[in-house]
Amino acid sequence: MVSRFGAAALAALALIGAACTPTPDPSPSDRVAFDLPTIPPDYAANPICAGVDVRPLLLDGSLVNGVPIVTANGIMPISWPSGFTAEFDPDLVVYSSDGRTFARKGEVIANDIWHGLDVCVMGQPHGPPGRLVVWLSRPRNPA
Amino acid sequence: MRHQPAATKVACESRSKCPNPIKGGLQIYQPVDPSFNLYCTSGFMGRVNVNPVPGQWFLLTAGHCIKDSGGNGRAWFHNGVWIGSAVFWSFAAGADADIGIIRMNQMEFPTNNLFGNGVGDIRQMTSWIANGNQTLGALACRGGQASNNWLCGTITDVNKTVSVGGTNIDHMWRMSRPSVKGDSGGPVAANFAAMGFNSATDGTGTWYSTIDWSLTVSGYKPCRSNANPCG
Repeated sequence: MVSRFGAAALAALALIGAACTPTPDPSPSDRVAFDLPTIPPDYAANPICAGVDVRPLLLDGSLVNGVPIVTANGIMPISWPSGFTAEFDPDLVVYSSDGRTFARKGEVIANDIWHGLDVCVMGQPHGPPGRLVVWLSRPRNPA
Repeated sequence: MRHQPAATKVACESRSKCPNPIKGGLQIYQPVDPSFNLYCTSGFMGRVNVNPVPGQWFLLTAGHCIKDSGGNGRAWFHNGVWIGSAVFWSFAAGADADIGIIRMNQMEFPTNNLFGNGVGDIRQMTSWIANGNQTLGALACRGGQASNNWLCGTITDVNKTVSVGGTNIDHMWRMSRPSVKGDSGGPVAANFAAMGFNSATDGTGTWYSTIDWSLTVSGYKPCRSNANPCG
């Protein structure tokens, strides 16, 4: 027979045990991948950048009401080459079009070339002064 | 009243630390946010073309640098020192030049100096090259704070309309050496003659706005002497 105290202790141990039991990561098929916004086709075909040098420039992103918001420094929207996706586990992970991990939240976005992509930090086209965006493109002439 | 150089002249050590007098080819920046800065390159010191006022000096750079940092009125710095505030920019669709103007503070004084190929190459600009003489195959060099170099090549395109990041800019010239983002606004020159302002890069070459078109658009021109007002 188990006393009331003993029963409570067993229940607590069971809870602790449950808490310590590793929960398997969701399989890739369980994760939700979000397509990232893409750069305009004409820029992808012929990237000419009137860019500026912003430092530091950090990759940021979160899910807001189920919508992925991926930015630089929390305020500059990033546009990507086609096929790039984002997942949140819970922090942002960006995957390239071939499915490889490209970058994670908090990573420094290098000026000019970042993981083989051309980085263009510039004003929002046709936008008011001070609105910066980041366009990432495949270099026309890869090194 | 003539402005005199600062009593204590600090040595020019690099593109990011080359104090008074400000020159072309240096790092300039605008603290667009408390946590990050926007960096560009100074082009040439200059003055208003018509009826210049002694003691009023201007720094000529790229218009998109001014626009991207928030526009006119923003304070610009070099090596932690406020050098002046933006007063003009041109970078809208259909613009004839990518040109921006910073009015220098009163601690600055006129100079036609340019930071060329290192601290041992502070050169004096004594002229500029008109559009008609910036022809295919002609010598063109460019300097920038981000690439931190001075590269010379030749002109490969003249007077083109170019879509730079989705904005069409008219009357663009191209030279054969690439730039890095943040070289924007930097000088394009040949020997001791100014040619234009670095606007955009395509990975293998640099697109720039010429002095003539920048003058037409803005009404400002580079100093060709250290007189007051500069010539």
